[in-house]
Formats: sequence, C-alpha cells, structure tokens
Amino acid sequence: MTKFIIKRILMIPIMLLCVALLVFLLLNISAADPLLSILPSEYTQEEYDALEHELGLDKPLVVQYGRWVANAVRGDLGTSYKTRGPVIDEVGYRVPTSLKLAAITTFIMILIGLPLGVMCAVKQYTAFDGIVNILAKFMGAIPGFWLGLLLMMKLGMEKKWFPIYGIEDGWKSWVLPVITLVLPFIANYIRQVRSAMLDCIRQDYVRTARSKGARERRVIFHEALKNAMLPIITMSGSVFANLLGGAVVIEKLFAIPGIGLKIVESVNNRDIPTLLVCAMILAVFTILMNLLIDLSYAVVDPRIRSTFAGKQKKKISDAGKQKGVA
Amino acid sequence: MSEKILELKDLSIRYTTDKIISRAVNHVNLSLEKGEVLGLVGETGAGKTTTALSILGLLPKYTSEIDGEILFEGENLVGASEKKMRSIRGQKISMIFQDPMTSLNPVYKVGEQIGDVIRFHNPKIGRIEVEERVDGILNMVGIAPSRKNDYPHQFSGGMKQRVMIAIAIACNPDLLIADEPTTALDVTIQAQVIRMMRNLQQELGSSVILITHDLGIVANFCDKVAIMYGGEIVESGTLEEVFDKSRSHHPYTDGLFGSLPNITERTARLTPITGLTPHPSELPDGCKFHPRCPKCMDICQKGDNPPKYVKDSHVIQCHLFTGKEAQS
Amino acid sequence: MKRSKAILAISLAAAMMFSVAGCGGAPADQTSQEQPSQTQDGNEGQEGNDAAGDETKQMEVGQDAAGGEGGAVTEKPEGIQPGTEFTYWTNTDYPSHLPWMDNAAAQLQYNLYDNLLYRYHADSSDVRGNIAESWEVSEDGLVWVFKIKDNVTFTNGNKVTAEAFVKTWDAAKAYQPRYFNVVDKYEATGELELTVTLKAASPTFIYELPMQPGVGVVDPALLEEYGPEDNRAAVGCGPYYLDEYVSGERIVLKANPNYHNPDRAPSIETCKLEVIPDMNTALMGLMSGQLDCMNTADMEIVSSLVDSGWEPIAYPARVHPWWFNAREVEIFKDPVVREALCHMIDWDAVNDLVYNGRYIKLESYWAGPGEVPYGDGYKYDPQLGVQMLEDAGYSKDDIAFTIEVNPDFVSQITAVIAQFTELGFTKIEMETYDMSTCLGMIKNGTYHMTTTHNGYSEENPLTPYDMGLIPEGTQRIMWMDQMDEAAQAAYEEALQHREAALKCSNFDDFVVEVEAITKLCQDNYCALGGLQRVGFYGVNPDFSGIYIGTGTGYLEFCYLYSNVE
Repeated sequence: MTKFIIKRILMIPIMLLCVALLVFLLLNISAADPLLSILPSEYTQEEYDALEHELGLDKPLVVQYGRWVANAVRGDLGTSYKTRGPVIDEVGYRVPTSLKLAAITTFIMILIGLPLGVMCAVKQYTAFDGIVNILAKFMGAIPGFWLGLLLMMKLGMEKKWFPIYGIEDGWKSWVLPVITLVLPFIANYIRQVRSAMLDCIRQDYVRTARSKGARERRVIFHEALKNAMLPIITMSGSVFANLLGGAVVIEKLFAIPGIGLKIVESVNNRDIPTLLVCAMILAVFTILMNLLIDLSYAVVDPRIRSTFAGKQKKKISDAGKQKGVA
Repeated sequence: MSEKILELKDLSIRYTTDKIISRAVNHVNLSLEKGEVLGLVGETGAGKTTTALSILGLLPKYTSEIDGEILFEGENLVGASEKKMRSIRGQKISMIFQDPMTSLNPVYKVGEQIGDVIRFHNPKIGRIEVEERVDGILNMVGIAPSRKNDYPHQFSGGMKQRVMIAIAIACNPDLLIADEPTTALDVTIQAQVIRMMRNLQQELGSSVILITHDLGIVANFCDKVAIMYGGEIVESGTLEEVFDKSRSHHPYTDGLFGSLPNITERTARLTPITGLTPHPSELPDGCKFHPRCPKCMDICQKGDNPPKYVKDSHVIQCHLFTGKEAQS
Repeated sequence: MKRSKAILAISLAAAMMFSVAGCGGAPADQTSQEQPSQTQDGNEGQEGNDAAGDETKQMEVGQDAAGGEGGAVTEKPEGIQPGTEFTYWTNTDYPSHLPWMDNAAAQLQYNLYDNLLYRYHADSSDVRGNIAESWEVSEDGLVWVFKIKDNVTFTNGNKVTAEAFVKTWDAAKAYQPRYFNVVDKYEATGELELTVTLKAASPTFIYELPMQPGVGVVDPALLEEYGPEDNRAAVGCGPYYLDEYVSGERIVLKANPNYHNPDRAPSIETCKLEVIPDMNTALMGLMSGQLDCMNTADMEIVSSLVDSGWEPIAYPARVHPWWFNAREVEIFKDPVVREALCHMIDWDAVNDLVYNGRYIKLESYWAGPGEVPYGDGYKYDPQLGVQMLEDAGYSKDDIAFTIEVNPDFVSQITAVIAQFTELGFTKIEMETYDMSTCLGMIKNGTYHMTTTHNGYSEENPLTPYDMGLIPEGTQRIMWMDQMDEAAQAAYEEALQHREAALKCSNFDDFVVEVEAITKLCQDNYCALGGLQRVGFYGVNPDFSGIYIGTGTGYLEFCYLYSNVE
C-alpha cells in the first residue's frame, strides 16, 4: 500500500509541470499584454521596455517557461505582475479560505443529500421519491448568482440576520455563501446517491440478507449502503475538488477571498505568475483528492484492499487449493 | 407416517410489470414431509425460483400477486405479517441461492455473514458463543474455521457455495430450499457439494427442496420429484415412480430423459425437445406443453389444463392418460 | 495668471474634468480598466453639472459635497473624532503598500503618503505646500528649491528631512521612472532644504514629482533595512497610517495623531477599506449599513440607489471619444466619410436611452484645459451625413467596420449601431472583448474603431498626444498621418505644436499649444464624438466633507468628518 501512495505522490511534480506548460501556453496565445495592466495608462516606450526586461517578458516563451520552472523548484514561486509582490503572499492565505468553503459545502451536501438519496432509493415509486426529485431538479436549476443576491437582500439586508459580505463575522458569514453554493450540488448528489443505492438494492446479496431474516433497515444501511459507498465517495471527493477552484461566482458575490476568484482576476490581468501558482495549487489538491478517494476505496472495499495486500493472502489460498478443497 | 412440513395448495403467482401480466406459477400443488428431499425439475423460466421465493415471502411487494395457500407446519404463509416472515427466514426455512459469486456481500467477512443469521434469531447471544457456533458450522461444511475472517472474493466458487450452505444451515432450519446450488460450479465440485449437502441433511434431519434441471443430481439425492413446466407441475411422484422407464410418463418428462446423452451409445446428435420454453406472459391455451409435444392431439390445444392422472403418489397432467385410470 | 483662471472658469462652466495623467491618479484608470465589470470611477470629477441629472446632488469645487442632513455637526471639527469609523469599499486588494509598487493602489497612497506639495481640497488650481513650507523656482524654471517644515515626523516618530526625500526617490526611481524623466538631479542642500534641477523647464512638473503620493516620502531608515519592496518599509507621514491589513479582506487605516498639516488634519478615527469584488454586493452593503460609501458608474446600480431613496453625488469622469483607425480601415482615410459619420449620431439620444440622461454629451475631444468646442462638422444632421456619402459615391454597404468595445460600453455602442442601422448602414458591427484584450489591441493597432482613456488630465493635457498622436506613441489612437492629404499636413503642424508645448515654461502658453493640437485633430475628424462618463458616489448621510479630487479622483479621507453627535 505504501508503495502505491509513494508512486502517486511522485507523479505530482510531473503533472504540475504539464499543467504549468498548458497554462503558460494558453495565456500567451491571447492578444492581451500583461504589461499594459501594470503600467499606468500613460506610459512611455522606455518604461514599457524597462518593465518588459525586468519581468523577463522579452525572452522567448521557452526561456520564460524554463526560468519559471527553475525558480519554482527552488521555492521561488514568482512575483505577481500586478502588485510586484511575491505571489505566495497573495495566494497563500486564500488556500485555507477556499478549503474551508469547499469543506463546509461538501459536508452540508453529504449531510443533507446522503440521507435523502438513500430514502428516495428505498421509497422508490412513492410520493416521497417524486417530490424530492422535483424539488432537487428545481433547486439545481436556480442560478447561483441570483439566489445569492436574493438571500443577501432578504436575509442580509432586510432581516439583518447575516452579514452581506466578507468572512469576518464568524460562522454567520458562511451561512449565505454555503447555502447558495450547495443547492445545485445537492440536487445532483441526491440523484446519484439514489441511483447508486438502487443498484445495490437490486443485488443478489441483498436478497440473501433478507432470506436470513434481516430487518429491512439493516438490509438498507448495513448491506446495501456500504456497497454503494464507492460511487458515493467518488462523487463527494470530486465535488470537493471542483469547489476549490469552482466557487468563483459565490466568492465574488460574497467577497470571500478564495482561489477561484484569484484565478479569474489573474486571467483578466494576464498576471501569469499568479495564475500559474493558483493552477498548481488546484492541480495538487485535485491529485491529492484523487489519491484520497482511491485510498478510501481500499478502506471500504476489501477486494481493492487485497490488490494492495497481495502476496500474503495468495499463499494461503494457494495452499488451500493444493489440498484439493474446492 | 411423518407430518407434512410444507404444502402448496393451488398456488398461483402473477407478476405485473408495465401492464404485462406474467403468470409465473399456475395452480401448483405440492407437499413435502419432514425429512424428505424433493427435487423440483424444469427448464429455466419454468417458475421454480418464483415458487421458492414465494415460500420465503421474498417476492417483490408491489409487482407480484399470490393466490392459493402456502402451508408451513400447518400455518398459511401467504399474507403473513412481515415480522412473522422474518422470524421464519433463516431460522425455520432458509434458502441457498443459485449464484454464489453474487449472493455473498463482498464487503463483509464471511464469518460475519454467517454469524448474522445466528444473531438475527438470537438477539441476546454473546459474541463468543456466536464465534463458536460459526466455527462449528464452518467445520460442518468443510471450511477451515481460520478462514472466517476472509472476504468472499478470497474464496473459490465451490468454497463460496459452501459458505452459502453454511449460512443456510446456521440456525438448523426445518426446511432448506436449494435453488440450483451447483449450476454455477464445475462437475467435480458439484459432486462434492451435493455429497456434503446429503450428509448434512441426514445429520440435521432437515427437509429439502432441491431445485435443479440436472436429473443426475435428482437421482443422487432426492426422495420425491416434481417436474415443472410453464408454471405448472406436469408430473410428480417418488423418485422410483418418475425414473421408472417401464412406466409411461408425461411427454415432457420423456423429452427430458430423452435428451440426456447416453453413455453407452454413440450418436452424432442429441435429441432435444423441439421448441422453446414459453414466456410466462405468453402462455399457450390448453395444455401449456402442446406446441412442443410430439403427441399433441386436438383436445390438447384448447380449453383448460388437462386433467390429472393419479396412481399412488404418481401424478401426471396430460390428456394422453384420460380414460386409462381413475382421474382426480 | 488670468489666463489659467479663465481656463478654469471654462472648465467649471463646462464641467468636464478628466482623469489624471501624470499623477498617481492614473492608477485609478488602471483599476477601472482592469476589472471591466466594476467600472469604479473613483477618479476625477470636480464640478457639479446640470447635465448630470436632477435627481443627483451636485458637488462644487471647494465645497462640502455630502450635506450631512441628519447631522448636528456642520463644520469640520478640530482634531480626531474619537470612535468614528468610515467604511469604504475597494474593488481589488492592495497587497503592496509601498507608494511606488502598485499603480492601482492610489486610493491607499493618497491617504498614507505625503509629498512636498498638495492640492487644497483636491482643487488643482490651488497648490499649496504640504511637507514643504515654501518653495522657489529659478527664472529659467530649471531649479526648484523646497524648504521643508521643521515639525514633520513619520508615523513611527522619525523626523522627515530632505535626505529622506533623496533616499525615497532613489528607491522610487526604478519603479516610477516617468516622474524622473525631466529631472536632472535632486539633492539635500540642507537638513531641511531640497533642491531639484530639471533638464528643461516643464509647465507640468509642479503636479508630478513634488506632488504625487506615488513618490511620497517614506522613512529611509526602514527602506535601508527592508528594501524598496517590503511592506515593512511602508511608513509615511500622511494623515493616516496603516493599522491592519487582512489579505483579500480589508485594510484598516487609523488617523495620524501627529499629523503636520492642519489643513488636512484627519477627523475620522478609523477608515476601513473593504475588499468587495462585486458591485452589487457593495450596493447592498451600502444599503444595509455595512458600508458607508460606495462609488460606481453603472447606471443600474445608480438607479437602484435612487429608487431606494439615496441621493448619489455625481461627478464628471472620463471622456470617451470613439477614434477612427485609418491605418486599418480604408474608408476612414476619406474625410467625407469621417465627417458624414460624425453627423449621423445623436449622442443626446444615446445618453437618454442608455444612461437616463445622466452622462454628458461631448463638445470636444477633451474636457478641461486643451478643450476646444467642436466645429459644425459634428452637428447632428443624419440626412446631411447620408447625403454626403451618397454624393461621394459610397453605397451604404461600403461603410463597413467593426467597433471594438470593452464590456463597459456595450450598451452605448449597441445604441449607436441601432442608429446606424436605422439609417440603412447595416455593415457596422460591434465586438466585445475584455479590458486586457482591448488594451492589447490598441497597442497593436489592430482595431477599427475603439475608445480608450488616453491619460488626459487637466494637469497635463498633452499626455494623450504623447501617447496617441506622435509616431513613437505607445498607444496610437489618432491616425491623422494615415488619413487624407489635408489631415497629413495637419499632422505635421500638430507635431510642431507639440514641440512648442514641450518648450513652454508656463502653463498658460502650454495650454495654448495643446488647444491648437486639439483643434487640428477635431477639424480633421479623428474621432466620432462620444459621451463623458459620470461617476456617482453613494454616501451615508452621517458623513460630510466628501472631496473627490480633480486630477486625483480619489476620496481623501482627511477631509471627512462625522456630522452626528
């Protein structure tokens, strides 16, 4: 198992290099010029040339990329074009914020979505299933920006229950953004959980369990749910990874300083160093998340665990075979 | 004379899906005495599994309807409460399913799955006692007790089936229903498993319904035979009665025996029964076997089911036998 | 001096001010340009203007803009009002606090860093000594000697000397070279005496190096210790000092109790800048009380404010003519086409339709010094325009070009194109790009027609020509040399006027030359005309003392005070 983990972690630098290359190329294709975003609107050609030279933008792309990689490996993640300060300063603090937002949202999604999805699967064809389905579809169709503004207006401005923006007000600041962010995800999650559960409920081993005299509740939660965990875990993990960089609209609306927002700003400013670092961070987290998902498969599913354990068990079953026992 | 442990009286089961009615089981009458082994023979789709599931009350609730009676130890199980059925399942009646590969839950240990049965029906039992009982059962089915902490995927097919058997006998049920227990296994393993089941049956004294399409196994293990076609019992009787070549049999029975390869003769071709088993939603009128019957007569094609010809315990449902002996 | 007063009178009357060029205010443009969805025009603006709509309050130079209606306090009190807090918004974060690092951080710099001179109450015509108690200029305008006040200290207690300026400017030179281009040398000729020698006399110098907070003085001891890029060296002697900075969330400024200039003494104890990327959120923040002030140029937001009973303060912002790129588009070479197009658009109608009449129709390419009223060629007479084109032999389909637009102007140009279409010119189209791409296209000269802020300010009205007219200009937008022969001759003349302007030693003569250039450009129809934007401030009526600087364009917190007991 450790070998597997190590192998995956060793893959990370290679993936990062590829992501960096891709981002680098894409940004340099467009007509926009990062220098124009930095210079004041009335600049002279000397200033332009000087800045270009200082930032190393007069060199060919390959050299620029190579330089960036060489620096990054040494720990120097570059200087933001826009603010001339180290990128790490601007991006570093945003990571915990984004993580927090993503974590809370995923947690709420699982908290509400999992039981609802399971119940829908159990009560398939009943009114409950139908109503939850319709509600879920409705919630999934609501545009986030609109919902956010609405909540902000009604609950923040009129009722003054929650602050309108920012994250300085303790737990209250997180309520509106999380609600806005979570609703479309819950819809999808419920449907997927339901489908995974239905698949499992139809399996033969569920019938075996019933034939043993098990209570229905045990059948659902003990026998079926654990098997449905694999697709459910995958889903939860991928939603989390998605939210890290994908909550831009909410981050912008509620003034939450997160990575997604930083990425959009960097693209608008053509601030390549910042963008590269943000992309790296997202890539690392995605890879780690995938690794975590794979590892949790091993925890949940003994068949996968066996592929890691390998040799030890094989010996025993081989020995058994030799004795002629089927 | 032993009492009847199970009696199916005029049992009919209908499935309704998407407005299509499938008549899986049609007016089936069966009985089983204590300690007896009944072989239920038929092709795929004949209604054998449905009959078995109905005894345990495991048919899908909303899409199936049961008419008739299922009398277990005198009590009618049709319409019984869920609580009652739960106490019966695993403890009084248990089932061994067809495909051991998928019938075991892959994420729990084997010992746990066996122990479950014991725990369900003995809520106050202690952990150690459960362990001991599990060990005992594993020994009985020929699996080393040290393997109780292994997962199903670590067992071969035959071993898995033994685990299924272990689960079924864990609480020493009065009636064991084995649904094609060896179909998924290869021949050598089949023999082992059947032998083991026979030993167990003798040791525990349980009654067994063995569902199979393999006449060889029936010959090996069963006391009584019932042949099912189109959801009906077309012929039933003791093993001797049904296997007796000198007697006349239902044309389907003849067809079944006739399609067995003969070890002494050399033939280029086997003799199958022509045609295909009808789908339960499209059953023919009259005698359900008539489209495939080599001895089909006009009277067979329409009307009700053919009358039953009874001699001792040998019952044949066929027009061919009308007028020969007393009819029931 | 009479001349400049007259010019100012004209600008006052016409009420069109432009955004900063040479000053750190330019960054303000940067802000707006960088986040197109934001359109925060924190800059420029001075005069109240009737054209700006009657629902909005007018603001006049030198006067208190936000009348504290609920307030008992009507005059700015002495000293700091304890416990007062003013929460303002900013669209972007300011991670770099040193004056010269971030061109977009002018809002911060104006409050943290002082320089030798300043504009009293944000009025460009009223230049006074800030850290300098007096200054002298030599006859030829080359040598400037500043006498520094004796009692000025940085917020950490160290004394401000001439040497501090020298050290600061040594560091700032690398980052803000444009203020030093005209400077030959600067040295501390005494503990409190600073001498700056220019390479050539410059009429605009007074607004640049000695006045811009972007080169404001910073404690040299800290500069020495931490270097010119470390925030720990960001200690100035302005009316506020930076108390707290939470990355991405807010910057908290506290009033400097030992501030040296009584005319700029701060009253509000704490000023918070909250980072809010979305304007709608800021609007709600204002309406719910979480914010005390927000500014915008977005008409929908302004309408929401007005509908909710607020009275936003209007200030004229940037001018936006739509420039013809004759290098890329053949038909623009023909003066008949250009003039005809100028006749065809009813800018009043566009103003009414898109901006509820709140914007201002242009009467010149600029607003302020250097502006010259349009000739008759710009009069709205669509039939004349159509006729001119017909007579010249153009079919309506011949008039085909694309207008490159950044998101701020989509509505405006849609209205313009609608007018063209109504007249039968269906081949005129619009393409929208984000701000960065637009800037890039302007630099590369690949657009057909677009608008940009060209650095115009009333302190240096020559800048747009430095950038957009001369052959080596970095953002060519006036392509007279690519147009017809008459235009090309005018181009040569314009260049000569520019040379002359650069030789002027006083501002009045300077402006005369600029006006000449402007007239040449206008008479040769370099642009289609356009509108002047108007920005709006929504302010919590508990506060008074809102001065939005001409040429600075930012809210200087030091003039604010709370009018509530």
